[in-house]
Amino acid sequence: MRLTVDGQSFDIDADPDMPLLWALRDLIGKTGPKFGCGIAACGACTVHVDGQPVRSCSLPVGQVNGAVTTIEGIGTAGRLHPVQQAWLEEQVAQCGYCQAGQIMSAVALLDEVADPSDADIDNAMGGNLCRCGTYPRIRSAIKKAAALKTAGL
Amino acid sequence: MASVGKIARRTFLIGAAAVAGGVAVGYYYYRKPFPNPLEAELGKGEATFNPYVKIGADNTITIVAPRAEMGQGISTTLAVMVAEELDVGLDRVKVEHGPASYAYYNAAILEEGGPFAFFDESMTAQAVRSGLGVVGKFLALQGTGGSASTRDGFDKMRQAGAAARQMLIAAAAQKLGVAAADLETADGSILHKPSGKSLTYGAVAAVAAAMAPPAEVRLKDRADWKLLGKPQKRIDMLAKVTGAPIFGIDVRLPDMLYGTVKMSPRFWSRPVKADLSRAEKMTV
Ligand code: FES
Ligand code: FES
Repeated sequence: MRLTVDGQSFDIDADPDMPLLWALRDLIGKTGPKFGCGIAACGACTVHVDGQPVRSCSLPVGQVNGAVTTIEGIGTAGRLHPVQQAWLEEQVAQCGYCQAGQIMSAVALLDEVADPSDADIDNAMGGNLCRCGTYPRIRSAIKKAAALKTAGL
Repeated sequence: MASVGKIARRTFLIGAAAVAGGVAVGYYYYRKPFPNPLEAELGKGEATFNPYVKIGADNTITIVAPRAEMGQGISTTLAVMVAEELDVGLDRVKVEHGPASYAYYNAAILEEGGPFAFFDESMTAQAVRSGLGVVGKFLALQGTGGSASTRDGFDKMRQAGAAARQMLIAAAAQKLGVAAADLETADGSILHKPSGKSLTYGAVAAVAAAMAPPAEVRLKDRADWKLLGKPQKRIDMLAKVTGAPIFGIDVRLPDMLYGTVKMSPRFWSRPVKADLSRAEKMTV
């Protein structure tokens, strides 16, 4: 089966029931998305399918109709996405395990709402858990990213 | 239950130490340093000064922060301690976890294992603490926990940086034919102000690392600290915002296979049948 991930096309030999997360990590080698719970309850595995955030641990790869974007596809160390830049400036991460998912949810939120309110943030980010409790910095980083994006940085 | 288990384990450690510890093996063994594990894994042109500092001929400076980074920021904290005394900025150093080695034992992890509050400074409490610190060396646990890593590293890491710096200065003095006292260090270089000459750490690293470590390591005065005591950016933040493969689950070994439990795709229903024939044919 063919899968487009981060702008590149891959030919993979996967059981259509295999969760997208494992196709990405084990077959394609995209280890950015993380496994947290495996039951769509934590958000660590969040990636985009055609721009929509999905929990890749619970989405069978056979049902993916669209281009997949992972944390590795939104920016790189030399060219960070505004959300990654804001995360860096606000020093958001502690252990960092949840952050790939947090960032992907935040990117999707800002694509939809340019200047999100606290309620918008709560709504969009409620499914992403952080055991280290970095929530206050996530909130300020999202606001900073919104400003960076509007300024065209 | 958990705390009962912990106490029992500590009691065991203390009991075992009386037999295997200071009494039987003696002071000599306690003082003897563990071998430097970095010697076994140096890259081309790289020199090591102690288990915490490596410097390459190209002036790449590597600091080993041998505690588990779990988001508490310890890799940054330990690196800052070395960088401060080595006189380099944090942005100039590479930080590695280093190999598993007795050299990285944590003495402070057991110090608070006695039945005293951490603020108890009575003579008995202090004596037990230093006794347990010795036990730490004998057991040589490369452990991370008990809020011990910073306390354990505070002297060790600064001394590692200061000793390396003193050796680099001595080597530079030799090479330039000037007095060590006339040399200054800044940002990975050694300057001789009177003549305007300078050398990078990398240029003298190989010679310096072969010298005997200084008998007396001088640490900076607190007032001269440039990095310590000030907020620092975490050295691992970029890796964490770009999804870099830094976690245990991201490790890929040659010929590694992935296994998983096959589950029913419907909630509350059990698998009815499964074809196990291929699995059963596999040899272990
Ligand atoms: S791993 Fe997918 S939501 Fe937790
Ligand atoms: S940073 Fe550790 S779980 Fe979120």
